[in-house]
Formats: sequence, C-alpha cells, structure tokens
Amino acid sequence: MISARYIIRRTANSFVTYAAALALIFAIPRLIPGSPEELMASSYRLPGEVAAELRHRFGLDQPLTTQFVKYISNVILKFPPDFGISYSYYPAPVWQVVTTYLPWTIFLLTLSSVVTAALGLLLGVLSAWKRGSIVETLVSGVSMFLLSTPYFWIAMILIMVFGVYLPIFPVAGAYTSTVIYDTPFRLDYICDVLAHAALPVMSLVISSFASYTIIMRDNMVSTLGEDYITTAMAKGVKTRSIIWRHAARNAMLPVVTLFILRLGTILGGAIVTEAVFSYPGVGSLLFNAILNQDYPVVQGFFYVITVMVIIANYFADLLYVFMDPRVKY
Amino acid sequence: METLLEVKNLSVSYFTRRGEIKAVDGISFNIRRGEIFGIAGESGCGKSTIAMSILRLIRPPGRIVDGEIIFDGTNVLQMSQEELRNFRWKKVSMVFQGAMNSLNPVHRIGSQIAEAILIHDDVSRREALKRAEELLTLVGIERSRLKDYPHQLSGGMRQRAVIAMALALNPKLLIADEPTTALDVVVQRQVLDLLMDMQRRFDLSLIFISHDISTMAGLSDRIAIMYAGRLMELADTKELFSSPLHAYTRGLIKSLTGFVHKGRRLWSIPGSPPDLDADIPGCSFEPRCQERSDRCSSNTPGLMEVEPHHYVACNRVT
Repeated sequence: MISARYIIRRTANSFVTYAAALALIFAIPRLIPGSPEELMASSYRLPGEVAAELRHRFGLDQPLTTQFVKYISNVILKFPPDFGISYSYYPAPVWQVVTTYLPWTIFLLTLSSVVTAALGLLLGVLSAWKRGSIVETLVSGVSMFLLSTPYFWIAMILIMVFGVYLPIFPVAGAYTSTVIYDTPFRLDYICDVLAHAALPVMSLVISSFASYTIIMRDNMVSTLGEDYITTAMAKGVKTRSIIWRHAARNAMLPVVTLFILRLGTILGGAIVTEAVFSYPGVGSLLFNAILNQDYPVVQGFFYVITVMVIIANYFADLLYVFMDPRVKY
Repeated sequence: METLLEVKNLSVSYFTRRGEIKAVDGISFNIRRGEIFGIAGESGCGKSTIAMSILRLIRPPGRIVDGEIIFDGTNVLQMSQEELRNFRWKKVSMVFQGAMNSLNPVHRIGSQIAEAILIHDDVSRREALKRAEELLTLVGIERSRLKDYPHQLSGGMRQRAVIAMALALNPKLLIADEPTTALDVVVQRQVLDLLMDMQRRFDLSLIFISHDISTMAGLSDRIAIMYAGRLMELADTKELFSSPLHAYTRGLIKSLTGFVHKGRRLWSIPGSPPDLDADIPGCSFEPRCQERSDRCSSNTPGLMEVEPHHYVACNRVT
C-alpha cells in the first residue's frame, strides 16, 4: 500500500531533482569553451559591430545572474516553457524546434525499449531454464560480448552489413523524403517509416538487451531454486506456467527498476545513434546544437529529456507497489 | 492392512563435480492405507530426497538411478509427463519443509489454493475460490484471509494455508517434510494437531518426515530410521522404542533429552555422518558404532525382518 505521506515525500523529491536539473541545464552549455557569437563571427567572417549586435540581441551581454533569472522565470512561469529563439534555426523559438524533432525520438525510443526489454527478458528466462546447456553458454557469451560493445560501433557494423553488402534497409533519415504523402496514415508510409527505423532500432536493441538478459538470468536462476517453485511443480502446474507465472513474474521485479534507470542511458545512446543514421530526432538536433553552440536549443533539449526521466522514475516507484505486494511505502 | 505405496530398492544420486553423491542408496518400504509412517534421521540422510522422489520432483543434477515407486499398482517412475501431472497433488500431495517459502510471495493465498484445484478439476475459477475458502475455514483460518498475500500471514498460519492447499484435492497420501521446523514450539504443536486431525478425518496415509524422533514417537504408527542414505531400522513405534535393535536407533533414543537434571551433560552419538561422495564398503554407521565388529567395515548388512514387522540392517543382529 502507498501512504499519502510517501506520495508527498516522493513528489517533493522529484521537485528537488527538477530544481537541481534546471540550474545544471543553464550552466552546462555555458561551460562549453568559446561562445556562440565568436563562433558565428569567425565562421561567417562578420565584422565586430555585427557580433556585438548579435550578443545584444541574444541577451548574452547581460550579466550571468540576469540571464539566469530571466531563464528561470521564462521556463517555470510560461507554458510552453520559453527558452528563447534558436541561434541556428533563427527565428524559430526553441520549443517549436524541439517539438518538431521530439516525436521521432519518442517513436525510436519506445520501439527500441520495448523490443530490448522483451528480447532481453525472453533470453534471460530461456537461458536460466536451460541452465547448463549449450543454449545458456551461447546466450551468456553473446550477452557478455554485446554488453561491452559501444552503440556506434554496432551502428556502423549494421550500416555495413544491411546497408552496403545486403542493401535491405535504408541507412539514413526517418522516411523517404522524395515521396510526398497526403496523409501519414497510409500503409506504404508506415512501412517506409518502419524500414527507416529498422537499423537505428536494431543498433539500440543489440547494444542494450544484454544487460536485461544477464540480470534476468541471475534472478531467474535463484527464483527457480525457491521452495515455491517446487511446490508449484508438485501441484502439477504446467512447465510453461511455472516459468512465467511462478518464476519470471517474481524474477522480473528488479528488471523493472533497471528499465527505468536505463532510460537515461538509452537516451544517451539514441543521440549517438541518431547522429550516425542522420535520424531527424532530438539526438541529431542536440548534436548540431552543440556544434553550433546553440545554447537555447541545448537547454530546451536537456529540459525536455530531464522532465521525461523524472516523470518516468516517479511513476516507476509508484508502480512498483502494484507489482510486488510485499513493498509498502 | 492394504498397501498404498511401495518403494522398492530406490536409489537417488546427485551428480556433482566431486562425483556421484548417493543420497538414497537402495531403500525399500511400504506405506499402508491410512497409516502414519515416520521417517527419521539426521539432516542430509536422504529423508527429503525420498519425499521428492515419490512425486518425481528430483531435479538435475539429481537423478533417480534405480528402483520402483509403485502407487496403487502404477509405477510412478514410468508415468508419462501427462500421467505424472495428473498424479501429482491429486493422489499424493506434500507439505514442504520451509513453512515460510513454499507459498509464492506475489500471488494471493486463495489463488494459489485455487490454482491446484483448477489444474486437476474441471471447475470455474469462482468455484475453485469458493472451495479454497472452505479449505481455509477447515484449517482454522478466517475466510477474509483468502485475498491476503503470504507475507501478511504469520508462520503458523502460512503452514496451515499450505496444509489446506495440500488437502485441496482429497489426496490419498500426504507427505509432510519437516512441517514444523521453521515454527516456534507452541505453533508447532498446533500445526501437528491439525495435521493429525486432518489425517483422521480424511483417512489419509501420511508420511511424516522429521529429525525429531520424540515428536514422531507420539504421532506415527511405524517409524523408519535412516542413516547416510540407507534404512537402518523399521518397526512399529512401540516396538522400536521398547526394543530397538540397531545401535544407531539406540543412540538416537538415548540422546533424547527429556527433563535433564541440572549439571548433567547431554548425551550424543560421537562422530559425524560420512561423506556420501565416496563408496562406503561396509555398514555406513560402522565408524561411529560402539558395538562394531571386524566384518562391519567390509560387509554391508541388508534390511532383514528379524521379528514380525521389525526390520533391521545390522551385522550383529542378522
């Protein structure tokens, strides 16, 4: 059961995290060496007066404290939060830029997280049940290998294999930009989008399912040794039901926590993956924004991501109570 | 009395990296209808392995290497998976050692009892839950507990719920493997009384496994004494306590404490049980036996009926 006291404490906790994140989001882009107007001035060979005018227009000539106060009040008090105007997508407001790219990332992440968790759990359960067999050795070996392989390396291998040697999947973009559809709810459009998502999703899945497999396998092995599993067998419960209803159901509990904790990591991976596949998500956006020192966009990106992760963690904690009856808050 | 279960020359081994461990080594006994049969012995002597073998629950690296287990005329060891599933719980059910851990922590008590009913009987879930409710009342748990999770029940109540679950399908044989070890003394008594009450009421055969022969003395019709995977002595309870024939049985009886005067030392059998991964050429109790003779280290005594219904495996007696 959840007590009201716990909910209040947990909510307060989330707000503290939110506040800390707000401050960091302001600080981090400003810690990148150089400054946006210097970058623009040098790359476009602008005269000094123009650079000064840009500084003034973006408010970068004001003291940091003034900038900070302005930033905080614009973000907290306005909806949608106002991060100002993008430097590189001038004159589009940041919120508009981020929300244009965001749906693609959400699509990519949802698809890859679900596939990752499902595949990871399945292989973990399988290798625990087939303990001591060649299946387990194979699954464990491959998992350990993949666990220590970086995202982008797998992405490059996939491009080589499925984009070059066996050109099955498109290697860049989120859809075929040369064809224009009247409505997005068409089968050929959906297939096109899925085909474009195939390689990015595969590289995210391949590089991250192993952590689920390994944790699930370990939990499964110890759960299968519990007395209540023997009881279930003695009752005549079918093997499939023993594996899923009695063992996996219990072994899965810590994996739920892992799923949520990994959201942040997967996002990090998504940035690199999107960059490799020129996928039009917020990852590519951030990548370019950092290169261009586009402070407002960097802030907008981190803000949206942070809020998403905080909310996910918040609900995961509350959800846990319903999954494990022993947990009491 | 009619025989319900016949265990013939049962051998069970665990195959580990150190080699074969003979947990049960050629054991034979019969269980009669309606009797309470006690199996006593130190931990690790193979009592639980026998219990698990009867339901064919031995899991790798363990394996039943030899023998027959005949229940009501059918050899359990030759049943197909389908026959085995119908046999389990419907004919023979079990109350396991760990009172605390034999219920799944994430499922409600009621649904765990109902699950057993639903597997074997063609009834609706609602019907099964209703029967689960009746069973709980039978073992003295309030109906409202049906929807509780195991952790919400005390240890004694949990073991009662497990007994209710074991009775769900009116089995002919109930195996109680150390049903009270994890409970405190007062609760132990209550759980044992409940078991005995149920045994009488349903005319169950009961295999009662324990390391505590004093408890067993008050409950069982017959007692089998096990040591290091082998049967040492088997007799009616009264007979066993009044004229024990095996040195090990005598040692066990002598080590019972009862009321001991202050200052008197407790008696125990010197030494400890042998490692089971090595072959034991003679009698397995020989190294600890106070009455051993020369041939005990080479000749393995077989179980012999030396008096009517009194079996013993000892070189001195046979």
